[in-house]
Amino acid sequence: MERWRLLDVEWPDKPYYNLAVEEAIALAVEAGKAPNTLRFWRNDNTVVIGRLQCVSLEVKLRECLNYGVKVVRRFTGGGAVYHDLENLNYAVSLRRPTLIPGDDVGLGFRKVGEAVALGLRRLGVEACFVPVNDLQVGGRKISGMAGSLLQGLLFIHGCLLVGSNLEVLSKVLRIPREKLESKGVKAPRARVTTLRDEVGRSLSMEEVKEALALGFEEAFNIKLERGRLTSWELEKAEELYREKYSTVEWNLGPCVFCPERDKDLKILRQIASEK
Amino acid sequence: MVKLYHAVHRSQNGKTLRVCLSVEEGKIVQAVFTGDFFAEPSESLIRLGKALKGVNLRREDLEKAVSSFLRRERVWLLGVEPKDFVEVILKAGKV
Repeated sequence: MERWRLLDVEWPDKPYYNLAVEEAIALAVEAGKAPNTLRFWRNDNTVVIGRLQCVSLEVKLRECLNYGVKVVRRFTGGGAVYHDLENLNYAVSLRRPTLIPGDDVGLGFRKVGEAVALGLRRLGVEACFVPVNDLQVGGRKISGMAGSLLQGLLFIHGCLLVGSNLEVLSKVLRIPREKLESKGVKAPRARVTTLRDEVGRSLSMEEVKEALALGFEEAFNIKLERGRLTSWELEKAEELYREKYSTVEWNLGPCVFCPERDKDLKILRQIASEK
Repeated sequence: MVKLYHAVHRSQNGKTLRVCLSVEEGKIVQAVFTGDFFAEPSESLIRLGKALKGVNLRREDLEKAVSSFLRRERVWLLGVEPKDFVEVILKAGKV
């Protein structure tokens, strides 16, 4: 039976570094410097936007400043999400070729979604995978995934709403009218749910992680072994933090036309400098 | 005179594709595509936006330019299709 490394490493108050670690792990697995890995981690009070999103159009940056919310761009596509300590992130780095047919990201979402759903079932919640990249409970989203296919790596990560503060979420993200209309709801709050709401009792994060780990072992037929970051990963994370994730250029993104670009650049600098 | 436009388009898969578009005399100067879909290599989207320079805001011209770029650069997409890039540009140009 294949063995994967299980990492439980997080820097909730340092979202730029957390994302740098995320990519460092992926690169280590791709380079064969680390085994296939499942990581659990959290950010506190942070908006994480997709690789291809325009931060000015998706995020209410001034509100982020008001609420002390940090903003960081990840290296995978998909949509903007709000992270707090009640949101659990899971990340899978698999060296290609993987157990997933064709190493396809879409099928990867399905397989990882299946693993998370098996974990949630252990907590008494029936979740189902809804293409492209969502897990839903009773028609409401509880987890969203994003992923990337590199030359030697299939990478999938997702966030699970354990008990997040959804009020802050709706204050700091701009949800396009077109999106709400297509989902047939008026407020974003109406289309998401949390694990605590579904279970109807308090849950410790340890309990959730344990259930998800068992779900991954079952879905992928692997054995998880607790491990640590390697010195290569720590060095790479430091470099990525310095040269990529902590820079306003990376977090601002490619949209050179935005009329508010200069103003947003200043706000992002301010957000980054707040402790 | 260069005019700036912006449009949002929802793909059949429920993903959001946005374009910020600069246009001069009916031709694209530059397009910047953003959204919550997936594309690899991700840098290719910037190149697509630049490759559309000089293309007329006409469906046939856009279809040809977009599909030949995506094929040539072997761009992998999930959540949106090549036709969505054409739709969002036409939507922006109509405003």
